[in-house]
Amino acid sequence: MDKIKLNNVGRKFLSFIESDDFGNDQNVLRGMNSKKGDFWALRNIYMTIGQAEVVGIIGRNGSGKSTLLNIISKGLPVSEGEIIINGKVSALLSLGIGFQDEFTGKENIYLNASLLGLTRKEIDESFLSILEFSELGDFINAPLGSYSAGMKMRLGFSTAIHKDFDILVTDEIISVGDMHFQKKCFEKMIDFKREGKTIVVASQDMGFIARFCDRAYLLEDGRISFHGDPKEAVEKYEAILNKKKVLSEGSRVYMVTETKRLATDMAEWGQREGTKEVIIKNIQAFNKWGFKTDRIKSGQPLIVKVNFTANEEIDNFHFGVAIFREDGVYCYGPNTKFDGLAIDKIGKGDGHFEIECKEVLLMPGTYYLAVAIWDENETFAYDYHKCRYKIEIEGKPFFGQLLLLPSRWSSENLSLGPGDLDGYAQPNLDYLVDKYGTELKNDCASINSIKCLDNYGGEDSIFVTGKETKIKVDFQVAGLPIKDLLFWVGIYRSDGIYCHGRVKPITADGSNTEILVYPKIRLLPGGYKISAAIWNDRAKRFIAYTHGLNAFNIISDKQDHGTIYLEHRWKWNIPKGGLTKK
Amino acid sequence: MQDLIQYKRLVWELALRDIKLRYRKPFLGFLWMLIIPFCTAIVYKILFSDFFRTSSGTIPFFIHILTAMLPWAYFTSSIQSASQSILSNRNIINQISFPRYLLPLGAVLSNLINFLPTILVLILFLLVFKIKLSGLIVLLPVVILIQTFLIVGLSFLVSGLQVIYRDVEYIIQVVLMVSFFLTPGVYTLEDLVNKSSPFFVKMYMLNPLVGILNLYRIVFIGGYLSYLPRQANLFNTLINPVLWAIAVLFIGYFVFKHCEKRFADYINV
Repeated sequence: MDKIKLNNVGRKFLSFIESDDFGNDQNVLRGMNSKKGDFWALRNIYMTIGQAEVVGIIGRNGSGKSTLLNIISKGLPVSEGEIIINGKVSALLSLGIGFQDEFTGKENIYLNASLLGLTRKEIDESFLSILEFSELGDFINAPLGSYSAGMKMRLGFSTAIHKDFDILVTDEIISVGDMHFQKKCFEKMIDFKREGKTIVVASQDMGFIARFCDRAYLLEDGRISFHGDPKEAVEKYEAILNKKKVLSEGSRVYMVTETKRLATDMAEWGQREGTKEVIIKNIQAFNKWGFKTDRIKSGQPLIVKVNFTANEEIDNFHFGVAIFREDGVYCYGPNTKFDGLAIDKIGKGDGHFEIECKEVLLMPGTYYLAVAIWDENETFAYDYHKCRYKIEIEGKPFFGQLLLLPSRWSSENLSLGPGDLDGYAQPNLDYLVDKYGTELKNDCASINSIKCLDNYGGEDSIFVTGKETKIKVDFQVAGLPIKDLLFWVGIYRSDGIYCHGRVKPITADGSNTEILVYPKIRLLPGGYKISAAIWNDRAKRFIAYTHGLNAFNIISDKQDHGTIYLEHRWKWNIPKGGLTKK
Repeated sequence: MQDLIQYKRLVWELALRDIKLRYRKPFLGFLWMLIIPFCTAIVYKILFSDFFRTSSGTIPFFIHILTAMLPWAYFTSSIQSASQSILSNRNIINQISFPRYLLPLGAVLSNLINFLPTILVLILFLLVFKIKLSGLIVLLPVVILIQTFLIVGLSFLVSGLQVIYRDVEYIIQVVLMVSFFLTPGVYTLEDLVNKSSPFFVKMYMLNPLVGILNLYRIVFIGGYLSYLPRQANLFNTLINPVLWAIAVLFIGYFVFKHCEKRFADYINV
């Protein structure tokens, strides 16, 4: 029977970040001004631990080890997912919980033990044994304040191990104290292992993990990035440590500069291929209320669920989903490998995986979904359905634009774009189709300069997915009826696909400056071009433009394919062909 | 409630720890738990009775103030220590799993333990002042129970909220100060009824602490029932406090359970 089972567990914390805008003294006087946001310390954790298994948890500081142990010991509730524990848990996470310096060692044993859940009778019975293990002797009746740090620790450990348990959850604490006591603690752990207790232990002592554990999980940024043989896990962990070192020296070294964004061969759409060890049975799409549908509104959540049957056990695989516009433009293609998720091997049987996009920031239109279960390196697919599933995104379309990027004019509030422009006339972008790479200017109207600015206001041409990006355009109009004039800025992919644009009425004669702000630009890596134009709505023509002459690049730590990064998360439930125990 | 039986040992240890921490070191030890309320009562007696000439009817002022002072001290110190009970035990909370409501419960229990010996001394004073003890004194445990239920409910409420909204402790200070003067502690109920509008008296009587204070005097002082003005009827002396205690207990528990989910986010910052 599984002793511990974690099913898509996640834990988020509020992050309080004090703003830097004002001096600290002022903050104190004004009270609450910390900004709150969610921070996921753990996400998508699937774990199954059986009877008498010894499982190691490794990872860098802040990778979520302690949060995970706290969740297993039920000291911390989960924010999502479920956790099933069969048996009594003893958590040795910090020693001497509730110790009072004013109390004697004996009083502290009683207090500490009752906090740990022992009854009076149990404490009475094991008191002598605790005293003996702690080797404190007569000091037991001295106030704790007079103890050395090592003595306090010994007292805490001795008390904690006298609780009867089936599952022990512990971290570094066993590696403190003098050599003699360390050895004693280690022997006690060996005893527990021999008695068939289940042990979950987090440690930075790689030798200990490799020797003592049956299996190990490697955590990276709150996710399981590897699980399996402890020696292998230790190797992977050491590799991460080295990689992070390089990253911190030159932060752009590991950034992706170009992603796959071209359509697959559209002639193959609707087909499937694969080696068929695993067969995708069907694909279902759900809207935000969980209703099955193939129509959603632009900007709304979408959940895609894929049911599959495994005819054979497979290892080393990943799940992928991609969405294409009907003309073959690759919009977005995430997979579990890019997201760094390690998934148990698939045993024979039925299972499913699903991906939830928080906001589908695509313009209304017809789109097609491709889903696949790939091998480790995407060299072959177990099963690959090429654009066999149609999704309609509803809403008001806007001139062949692909994306809805949250943006604003520097003078306005944030919005998704076209939806708010209903009041304005729209320039007809068809006029620009064959003008790519050209400009038009005259004395009455001209676009003078286009600059890209980073969040500090400096000019730059390289931006990072998810960071602020501004486009500043200087232009001038002279002697024209300005109420008929509209100003437009658009972003094109370097291959000429129109991604996103915004329109604004021109309000002043003469020189104008407009700044279009993307607070978190969602574009994926690659080259992009900027166009700007002035549209005369009465004459229904452009009177000045510069089309595709200015460029910027996006780089990212995301490897996902396509054009736009959509926030998403994965869930899965895969058949187990028995427990993966070595 | 099942886990309350399972964890009764822990509540007891927590309460005992509070008591021990408070009285272990001082030379006078637990005598302080008697000295402080009686000193306060003496100060109030001098200030209000001898100085401001506040009337206390036929009962000696010292007894009048003492019968209010002791339950009141139990009430305020419980609420105040309960409001800090979660935050001051943050090192315990994140480490082990046990029902969190045991912490405010332990805080109340330690104050109850503090309160009981003072009652014995009060009875001693009643004898010294040659006041006829009421036969109703056998009902004293019931009165204490009603008050304790009310305190426990309020403790759940404030201890949970305090973790998330740190303004609560200051609000408590203000509310406790105001409500002391909204109970017949220094003045008599009769004075208040004579000098106030009937509507205000009606509202005043809805305060459960007024009822509880009356109950304490009824069970201690022989014949006190006849001193009570007719506005203090059975409903607002007995039934109203009981209803309040039950309602507050449920609301407090509910609010606490709600706040509890968010403790981990707020407790360490």
